[in-house]
Amino acid sequence: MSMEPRIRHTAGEEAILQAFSARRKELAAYPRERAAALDLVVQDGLPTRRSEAWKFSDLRAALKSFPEPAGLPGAGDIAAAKSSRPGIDISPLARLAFVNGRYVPSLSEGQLPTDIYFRDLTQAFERGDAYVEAHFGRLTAGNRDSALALNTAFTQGGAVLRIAPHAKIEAPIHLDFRFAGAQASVFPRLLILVGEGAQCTIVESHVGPDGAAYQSHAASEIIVGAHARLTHVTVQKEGDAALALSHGFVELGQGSCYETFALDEGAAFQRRALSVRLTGEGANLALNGAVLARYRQHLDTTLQVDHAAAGCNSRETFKYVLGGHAHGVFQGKIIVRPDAQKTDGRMSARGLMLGDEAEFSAKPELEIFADDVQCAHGATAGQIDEDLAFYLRSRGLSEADAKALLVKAFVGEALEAVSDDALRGMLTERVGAWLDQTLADRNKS
Amino acid sequence: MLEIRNLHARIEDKQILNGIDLVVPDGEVHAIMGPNGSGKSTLSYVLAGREDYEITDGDILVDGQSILELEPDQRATAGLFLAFQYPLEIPGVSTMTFLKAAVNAHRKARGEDEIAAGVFLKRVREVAKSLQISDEMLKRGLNVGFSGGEKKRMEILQMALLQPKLAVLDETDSGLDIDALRIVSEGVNALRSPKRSILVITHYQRLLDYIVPDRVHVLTKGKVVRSGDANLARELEASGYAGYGEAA
Repeated sequence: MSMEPRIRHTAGEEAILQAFSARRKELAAYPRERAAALDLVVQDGLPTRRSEAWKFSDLRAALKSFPEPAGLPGAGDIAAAKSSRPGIDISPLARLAFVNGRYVPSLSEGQLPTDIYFRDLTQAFERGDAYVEAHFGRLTAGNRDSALALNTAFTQGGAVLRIAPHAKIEAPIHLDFRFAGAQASVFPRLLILVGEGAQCTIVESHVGPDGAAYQSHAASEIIVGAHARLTHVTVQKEGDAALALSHGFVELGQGSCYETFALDEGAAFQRRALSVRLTGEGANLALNGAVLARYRQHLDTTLQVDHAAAGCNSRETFKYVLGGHAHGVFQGKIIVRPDAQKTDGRMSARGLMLGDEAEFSAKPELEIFADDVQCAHGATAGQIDEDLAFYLRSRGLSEADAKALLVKAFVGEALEAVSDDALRGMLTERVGAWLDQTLADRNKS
Repeated sequence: MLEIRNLHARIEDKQILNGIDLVVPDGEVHAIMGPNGSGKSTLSYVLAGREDYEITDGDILVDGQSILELEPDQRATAGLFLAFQYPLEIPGVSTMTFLKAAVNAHRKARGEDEIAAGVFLKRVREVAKSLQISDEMLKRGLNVGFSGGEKKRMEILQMALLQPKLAVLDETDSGLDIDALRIVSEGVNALRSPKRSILVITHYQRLLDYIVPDRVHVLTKGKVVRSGDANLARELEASGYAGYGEAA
């Protein structure tokens, strides 16, 4: 039963509802979840700045239209995706390729060992996979966010990845998401379960062509079991006209460790929402990232770190390099529940402005309900330090080289948190390439 | 050879240098001594080309060529080196990366290819050892977490790698204990050469016991008011700067 809307729908919202009605039959999996998600969109409409979590990113205004949801990728899409280069230079155990949110074996490489279970998420659900039934929608439940609901309402395909308990997977697994086409909406969805005591590394990349006004509405649920260790690096290089939203939900078990780094450099409008709940005692979280924005890009990172158990540590460092008329947004909230004594949580966000027209909005928050905790947060913004630049120039570096080195150093501080040398090297290369291009563009103009 | 002719400089509306004349021939070490506020650090920054200062009169010549129109990096690659009084910390840039960038900037200016990694590493290790700089320090962010003495040794390491024609050491003795002072001085003395001019700027005579200068100049109120040999430094140590119209 659909409830009455509380608002007058925009053209974008109308298009969403129409697209859903037209696909009601094929969107058969997860019927309960989809119905609830659609109800939320009908009632609330898309989020606006009135919602604290969307304070700096007005999705209702940004999502003026809603391109038709992409179907199964055809041969043309797969060929186009094949020719795109994600620029993730690592040696993975396996590269699992997705086009428009659907797994494409012919584009994938490598063999997964038997202690990794990997399936199309929707198919696994329809075949009654007990893990998927138990966990799909568990972490996203209770979030009254109509942007997240868009993924749940429309998702098809996606993947479930389960690492067997105590498996030790050395080389990274690359989840390679590519968009192919011109105008379409895609809904990548992941369910990742890292079994008790297991260790693995996942690299996730999202790329798409410039000039295509597509939309990506991604969501993932990640469950890290007791004493498990997950390293998770994400690179977002969607096309320059894309709208990219992602919602990540992570649950950390007792004594587990989750180390994650997000590098965001693509899309015209992006919002990365990441919510981590530390539910087991002694869990460790290292949540870091770098945001590189220029032109008129609007790149938002909104974090929630929820300490629900005692003796957990969390560290978050985000660096924003903002050129042109870009707008970088950082919202970070640390919650410490009454039982989460001996919590140690620190969050910081820093913006480096390459010009006068860029903007950085930061809103760090603490909500502490326990008394024996150590928490700190901070946010700063500034320009390149002229004293440091002079020091480097006095050693012979040109002004451009000195500034480039200082920007690399600024991002490098966050990259130091990536403990894997190869992954840090790949990220460092990307940052260097972005910077070289940005500085070259600046010299041209 | 460094020649400073009638140099006048100001920062914003404050005139600081009021006509400095000074010649440091090749192979010589000269010391500039003076009380606080006499313009010592301004002179070092003006030599290195810091943009906050305006040269209102005079000239600076290195080997007969004026450097006033050169950018700080062009002055550096032309052979001028300033050892900073307060070396800056740059987290996120490893010391090795920074040293290599500096060496390669000099090589590029000479039209040479980048230095081979093996050759560079060997050279850095050699000099670092003589200055008692550990491998661990070289891996850290530039000057990050270094003590005052470690930062000063790092400056001398850079000087040794860049082999300048003209080195200006700005209060290199400040913040050094006696052991660090000895290591730094030995490092500087090892770089004395018939083709190099060195200008040592200091408040105290102490450093000049280790780096014995050919000439000593007294700077007050932005002007050289007296010059002499190394004995002048000892005289100043006994009498202070009071005789030069300044508080001691």
